[in-house]
Amino acid sequence: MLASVALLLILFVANVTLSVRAYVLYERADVSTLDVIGASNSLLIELLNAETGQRGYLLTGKAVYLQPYDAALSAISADQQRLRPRVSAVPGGRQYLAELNSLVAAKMAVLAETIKLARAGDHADALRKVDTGEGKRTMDQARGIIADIQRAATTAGASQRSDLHTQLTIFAVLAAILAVADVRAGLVLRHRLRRAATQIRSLNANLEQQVRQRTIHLERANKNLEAFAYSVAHDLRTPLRGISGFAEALVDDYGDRLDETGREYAGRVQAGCARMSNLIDDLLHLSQVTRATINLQDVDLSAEVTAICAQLRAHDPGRQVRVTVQEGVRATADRTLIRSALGNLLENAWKFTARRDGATIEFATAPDGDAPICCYVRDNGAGFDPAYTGKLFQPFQRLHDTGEFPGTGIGLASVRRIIERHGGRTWAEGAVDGGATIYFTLNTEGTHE
Amino acid sequence: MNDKQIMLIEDNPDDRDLTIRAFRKNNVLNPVTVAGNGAEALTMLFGDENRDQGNPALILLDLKMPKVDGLEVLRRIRADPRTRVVPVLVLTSSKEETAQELWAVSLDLVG
Ligand SMILES: Nc1ncnc2c1ncn2[C@@H]1O[C@H](COP(=O)(O)OP(=O)(O)OP(=O)(O)O)[C@@H](O)[C@H]1O
Ligand SMILES: [Mg+2]
Repeated sequence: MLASVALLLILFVANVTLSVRAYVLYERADVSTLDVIGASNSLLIELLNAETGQRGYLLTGKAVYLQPYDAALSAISADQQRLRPRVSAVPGGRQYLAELNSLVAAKMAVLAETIKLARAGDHADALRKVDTGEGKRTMDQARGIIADIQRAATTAGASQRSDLHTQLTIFAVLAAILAVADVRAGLVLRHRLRRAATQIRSLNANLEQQVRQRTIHLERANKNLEAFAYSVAHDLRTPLRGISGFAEALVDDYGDRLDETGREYAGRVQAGCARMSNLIDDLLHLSQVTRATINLQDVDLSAEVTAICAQLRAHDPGRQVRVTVQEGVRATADRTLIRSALGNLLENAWKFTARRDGATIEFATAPDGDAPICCYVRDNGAGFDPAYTGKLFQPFQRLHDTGEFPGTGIGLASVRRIIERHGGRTWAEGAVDGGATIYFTLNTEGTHE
Repeated sequence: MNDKQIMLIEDNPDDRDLTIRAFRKNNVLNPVTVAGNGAEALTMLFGDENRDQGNPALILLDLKMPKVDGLEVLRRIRADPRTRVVPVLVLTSSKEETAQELWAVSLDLVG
């Protein structure tokens, strides 16, 4: 569509250009005809002038008469020059030109010869030659040819003008049609553009609607999955209770009939049960984090951090840990959930600095372009291999041996879920033996229910 | 005291046996009647032929059972004047939600 409008515009411009050219040619055709008539008339007059000069000289023998003759000579050749290109362009013009030129040449030859005779003093001879009437005949022929040339030029000019006139008319009509077509095409184009814009707008609206529905579906699917995980984890408790209960009964009631190895195996069963029971509890806890209803309120994060650290210190009075807390960090959040997240982060920091003299833990905010608030918990403990940063937040993923640092690996997974439910992000920085920093943002306008 | 009936309402045989074993281990030697599900428990409690045995001294009740679940059994026990005052010990591994429901059933009885 755009292409056809452009084409129409190009045609329109081309048409105007051609029209201007035709008009110039039209004017020029007129001038050219007049030129031919003027030059040929002048040629005729000059021929007569030359003849008159010749006669005067022959009759009087006075050189003064040769002046008009000489002037006529150069004027005649100028007129011939003027005529040549113009008459050549006229149909049959070359023929006329040839005849005219040979006549002029013949005439001039006669004039020149008689003057030569007269100069030699042979006036009588010269006049006799004039009397033959040959000169007059040549003049009459020249007159005839010039009349022919003038007629031909006039006709050619007229027909050229009429052709150009027709062309100009056609161009004018074309221009009018093209102008109308252009305007029409423009209107159609505008209409289509508007329609396309409307369609795009409605498609966009549709897309948004679809995205919204997808999100609702996904959230629902996620909730179902979460509920399923919860009930599976929960149901696993029943058989586990049987296994661990009977293992205990075996050791209690029949321990004396088992040998050392038998008792050890039974003990292993019980230990496995205890571990599995912990895992199930963690899973249920994680799932609760996702399922709990969010209850937003203004929370003093600094105060929460200070309280949690005091608890950690009370549980582990042997440790020397320097804790720095940026004062007055507040956020809109679910108090229970955010407390649990901070608890997990600080427990980790506490735990992974256990083998460090001069352990420090820091809580502060950091600038972040995306979210209203970005905090971090930093320690100078064991750190971790940054190649595995992605794994830290996965459930049950651990980067340290249980023997070295105990845990099941659910803490950071639940931190991430809590932060995500607050519309935030979590990420970690660290290096082996270089401490760790866990960042999180909160954006409660994006809270997920 | 030791001859008083204890009633155990539990559908899982493992839990049943472990519970009885725990009694014995802790010198609770009372006779234990076992109901394998809620419906059976209701028949034993309110069915005519067992009625003359009188009320059990204590009822141990599992909440999660198919068909007639523990809460329903509890509601029926509390609704009937004959069993209203029998102490019931609820066995469950679930938390708050269940506690709230239990609380509601108990309030029903008071009101
Ligand atoms: N502050 C930290 N310094 C070094 N490594 C850390 C730190 N925090 C987490 N990690 C690494 O990330 C892993 C996962 O952390 P997460 O809190 O999820 O589990 P955990 O502390 O091992 O166990 P849990 O929190 O369930 O008791 C840890 O095992 C540890 O390898
Ligand atoms: Mg942890």
